Amino acid sequence: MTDHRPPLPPHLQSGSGADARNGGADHPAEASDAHLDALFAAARAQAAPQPSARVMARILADADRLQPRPVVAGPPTPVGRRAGINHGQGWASTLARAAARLWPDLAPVGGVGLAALAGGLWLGLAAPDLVAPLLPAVQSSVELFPNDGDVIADFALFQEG
Amino acid sequence: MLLAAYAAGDGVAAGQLVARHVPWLVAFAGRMLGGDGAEAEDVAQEAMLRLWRIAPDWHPGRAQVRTWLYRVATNLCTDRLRRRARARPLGPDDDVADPAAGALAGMIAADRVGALRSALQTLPDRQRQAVVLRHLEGLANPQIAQIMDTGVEAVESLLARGRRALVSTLAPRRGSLGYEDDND
Repeated sequence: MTDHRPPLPPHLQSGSGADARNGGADHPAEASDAHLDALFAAARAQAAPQPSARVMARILADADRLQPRPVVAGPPTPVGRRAGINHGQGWASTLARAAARLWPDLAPVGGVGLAALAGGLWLGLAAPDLVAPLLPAVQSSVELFPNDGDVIADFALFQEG
Repeated sequence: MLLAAYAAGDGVAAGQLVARHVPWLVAFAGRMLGGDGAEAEDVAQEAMLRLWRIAPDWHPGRAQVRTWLYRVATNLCTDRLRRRARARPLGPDDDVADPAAGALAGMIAADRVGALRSALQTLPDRQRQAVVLRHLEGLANPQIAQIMDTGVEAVESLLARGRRALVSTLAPRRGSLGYEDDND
């Protein structure tokens, strides 16, 4: 945004009358600038006003009055709850745990790798159209869903919860 | 980030924000308002009040909290100075177009800082804001541009014009301010 103020009066405009602006022909512009800088330095050196305890208390009271209150979590919903499921963990760890049960040989990959793998599995469950073209190649070497009812139940509950 | 923590209900964050920002806010408002400490505190409280209110909607990509507070405090100070000016209409001896005869009438003789404060009050709002932020607060031009919601070139222009006006206003007082013999 530019300054749209009206033009300054001639005695304040740049490029002319420098001597007159500086208090007389005997005082070059550099000297006046130096004097002004000295005034600024004096002003900076002067002790600035400090807030009183009273205003600090007022401001803190405002802060307390206007602070959003954290939402207290209610009791957990029964959906998705059943014995054997490790609740209180994020969806990624739930998927990773399920993936580890599906492919125990991949344990050395670690949690992150399993989570990524599980993420792919989740994508397949949630959006099968995206991975359907790949299924024939995968099914030729991997049994995606072995006879493990708990794992399938985990995913079903995950989708519900 | 402290403001996010405050918005999330962290009670300690408010105290840290107050300790971090209120002292400089009061000092800055005091300079803008010509040294009125009580008004400066009111400005600081109002600026912080607006910060508390905006906290839940604060975007991390927004300007820094300090820059945002500078902007709010600058506008609050300008509003107060305008109200002052309206409450004290200019008389024939207060003609700002003739600072040597008018606006300098209230200067404190031989008080350099007082003279500078008085001269600052004769500047147009945006020139005064730029000069105070640059020369009294020590901010860089890009930050001033952010605070004033303008470009760096406009800030440079405001500073140059503000300085020239101050020099012109203060020139007749050189002797009483102790500068008369510096150059001769």
